[in-house]
Amino acid sequence: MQAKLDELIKAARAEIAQAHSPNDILNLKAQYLGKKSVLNSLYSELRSLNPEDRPAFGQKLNDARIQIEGFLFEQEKSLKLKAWEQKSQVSGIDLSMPGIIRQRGGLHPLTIIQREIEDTFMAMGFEIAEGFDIEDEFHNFDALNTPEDHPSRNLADTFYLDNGFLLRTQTSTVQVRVMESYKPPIRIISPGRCYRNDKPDPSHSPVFSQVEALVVDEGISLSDLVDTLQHFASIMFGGKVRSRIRPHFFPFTEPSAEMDISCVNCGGTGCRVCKNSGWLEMGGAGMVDPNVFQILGIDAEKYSGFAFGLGIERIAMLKYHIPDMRILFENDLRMLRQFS
Amino acid sequence: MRISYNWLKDYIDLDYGTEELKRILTFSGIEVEAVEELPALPDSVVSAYVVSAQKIEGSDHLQVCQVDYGQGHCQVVCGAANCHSGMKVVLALPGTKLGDLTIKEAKLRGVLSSGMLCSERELGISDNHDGIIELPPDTPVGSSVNSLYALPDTIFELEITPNRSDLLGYLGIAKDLSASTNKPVKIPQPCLTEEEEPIFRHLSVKVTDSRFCPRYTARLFQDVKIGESPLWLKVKLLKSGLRPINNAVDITNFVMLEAGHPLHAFDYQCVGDRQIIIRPAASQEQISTLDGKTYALDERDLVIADSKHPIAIAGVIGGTNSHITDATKEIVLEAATFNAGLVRKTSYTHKIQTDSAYRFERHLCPEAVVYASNRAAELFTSLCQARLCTGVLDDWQHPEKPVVLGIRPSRFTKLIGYRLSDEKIQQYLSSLGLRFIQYGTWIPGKIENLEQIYCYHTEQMKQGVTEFDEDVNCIHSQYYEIPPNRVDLEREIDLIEELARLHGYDKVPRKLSPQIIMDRHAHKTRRMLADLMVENGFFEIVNYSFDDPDDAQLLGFQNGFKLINPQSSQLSAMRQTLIPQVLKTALYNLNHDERNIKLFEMNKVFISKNADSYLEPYEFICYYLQLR
Ligand SMILES: [Zn+2]
Repeated sequence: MQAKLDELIKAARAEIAQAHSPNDILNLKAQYLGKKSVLNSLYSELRSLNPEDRPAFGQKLNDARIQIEGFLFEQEKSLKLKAWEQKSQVSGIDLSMPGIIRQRGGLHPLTIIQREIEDTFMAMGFEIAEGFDIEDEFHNFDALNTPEDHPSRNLADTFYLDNGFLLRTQTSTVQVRVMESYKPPIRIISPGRCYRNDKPDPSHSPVFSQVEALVVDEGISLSDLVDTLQHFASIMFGGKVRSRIRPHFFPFTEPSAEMDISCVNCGGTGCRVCKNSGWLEMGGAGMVDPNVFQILGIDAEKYSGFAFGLGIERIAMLKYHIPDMRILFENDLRMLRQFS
Repeated sequence: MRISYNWLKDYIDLDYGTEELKRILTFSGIEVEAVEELPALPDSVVSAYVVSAQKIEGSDHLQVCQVDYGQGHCQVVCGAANCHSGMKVVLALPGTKLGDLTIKEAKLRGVLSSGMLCSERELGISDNHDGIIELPPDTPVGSSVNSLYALPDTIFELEITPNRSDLLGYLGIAKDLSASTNKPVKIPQPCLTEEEEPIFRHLSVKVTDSRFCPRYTARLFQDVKIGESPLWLKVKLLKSGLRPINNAVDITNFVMLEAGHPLHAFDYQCVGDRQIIIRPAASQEQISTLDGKTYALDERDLVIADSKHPIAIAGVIGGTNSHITDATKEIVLEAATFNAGLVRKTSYTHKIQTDSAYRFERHLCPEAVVYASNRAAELFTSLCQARLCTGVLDDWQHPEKPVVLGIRPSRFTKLIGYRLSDEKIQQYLSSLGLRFIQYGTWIPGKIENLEQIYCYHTEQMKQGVTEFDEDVNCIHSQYYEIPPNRVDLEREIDLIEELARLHGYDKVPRKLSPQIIMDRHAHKTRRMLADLMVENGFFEIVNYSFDDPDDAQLLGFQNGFKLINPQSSQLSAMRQTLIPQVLKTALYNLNHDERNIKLFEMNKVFISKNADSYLEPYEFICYYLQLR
């Protein structure tokens, strides 16, 4: 009987050491410890022994069971380890290496502001439309009701390319393209880069970004524009900020207006930032000129619309107290880290 | 509420299929909870005559019947208790399929049975399986029973919203369908023959508090013959889910289903001292009711009583002490309205749910009792051969003036989003039973005095002086008298809702067009990519869109777009790659003593395809420089 048991343990050790997979382990477990195993059958032989021999042999059987369980456990562990090692080899990453605390980077302040603006308008039901930076004269000027001899068409104002195209001077070009392809109602903003032949200085840059909003539908009035502007200002600069429009001129809007918000620095009492006026210029706005609708084949009697443009750099400078627009294009990591 | 399509067609000509009618109902605001099709019975189901019925030896209930079905005879074994010789029955011949059941020739107790005598349940018209159907004695033998049972039919299970008490009967549904389908509605006009005997000699009615019972009317019928209802009436009740009881009770139920107004019939002989008093119950006052229960009432319950005892719980259920029996000879017919809240409370407190309470809980109008009472009176005289006493006892202490409301067409347009012409508005509202009074300047709220309405000169109206003062001064407002059963129409907005509903919510224009301008996928992807870089320690940089053409050339780029008026030669070409500027930025930061430089830029680059076409894809460059 003892010999039988020794034989069993030996066989088990040998066979378990050959196991290659978790499945093998399961099968061997059943084979050596299960209901139909040799070990189990030996338990039933206990009854044929003399009563005084039974406890000793029972103990031996239990020891054998524990031993076999040990083999199985060890083999299972080593299989898992092997699998782990193989995995790290394949992926080329040392999975056992301790983790490191990762330093976050940061988005550029212009991107942060642009995202905020986009999200604000998207919450108001606007869609985002994109256009081309390189445009033709039709979309940048003609369709926007700009007279042939308008000064903004000059080389001193607009960049022209050697193939006859130009770099858009405002994202209003996207309005034109959207109105060409889609029927009203239209409710879009178009963020993007614009180009004007200005020398870089604290408040100018030849490359800058705008967000232009356009709404075309039946029954749109100047009042909708005022609402949208105030809503936008409140979300971007806080609930206390007031907004206003005052008369101005743009070729593609009629009536046209300049948008102001109350100074976010002094709250309207006057300071250096607002040049003591209490107001900050936000951008141009107005009701889409019927001529623009006509050029684009939209029924100007049925539909009306408003548009306005905001300078992203200007908003970023106001919000983050950046004194010079050129800083935004320097990409100095010491500056960028402040937005991490 | 169960509505039989065939019965509904008695009041309005509808030729819609089930699905179409379901759609029409749904879009007029009446939700169809379920539809049950009652198929036509096969030709092998015929009316038949039981020539003889004899007990089978050894069975306590089986009988062997010889049945004549016109085209022939057959022998049927039947176990129904009510089966007897001489009755007219519904016979299903062998081979008939009724639902899942197929009738076969079989031997029961050794006796051949070639067919089945059917119960209502087997025909699918009700759940009743207590016995076999007994057809009226004058039914011809051997004919199809489809016409007797108005089959095939469709049962619509309708959910009536609580505000629409006018829809609690077939007529209400028909009127509403008439308004939405523009088909005429046919309302039965009761034709009454009153005898000379006046009612007031025999009965008195008294309402103690008109707040609880705004109106109570009673009619008296003499020489009433109580018996079974005609089959058509029974079929209508069965299909609507009610059990026929006797002709008098069936008539009150029929009128309730038809007109939507519950009625109650009392046995006149049981009305003590010939007085009907509508009063709050006394504390602990008891009444045994038709549901076989006894309730202890209190002051918050309203009862119909005679001089001593309650004979009904008002609007909820009748008492057993006064109900119609086969021995009843004279009938008091009650048509009344009770306070909705009171009925609801009583029904809730005592857990009594009846078709009557269901309707009274929803504000029935006092004006409606006349039609219901007359309709029932007509049927009592014809179906129970009753003699109708002259006059109606009518306790109606505070008749209300009809409600007059104005509606501004411009307001409709503003709220719903499309215009309805003045004529269309009148057509729709008139079809709902609203009476157009006149045009006028706008007055909000209910109009107390018609003279308030300032009538603009009709000629000026026609000249179209209509649009200039749209809302506040709308000279164009239309004024309507609201029918009393539309208790839900109280404000202008209610009328606007009715118009929108009748014209169809599907006609509401979609203001935001389905066009999608935005490329959401690209937008999301760019943000995710930038966020991923930031998570991994990179800083975003932005550079001008133009740079030095020589740099691009070093990297092998040719033929970029050149500016004809650049600010400098270093800024004279549209960039075709971000690489030079990213490297320059890294260098700039290196010169500022940065040693761990992680940068990325994601921006447009400009690729010329040929002379007049170009691409502006986004390029994404990241750069990592670490010095020790
Ligand atoms: Zn200021």
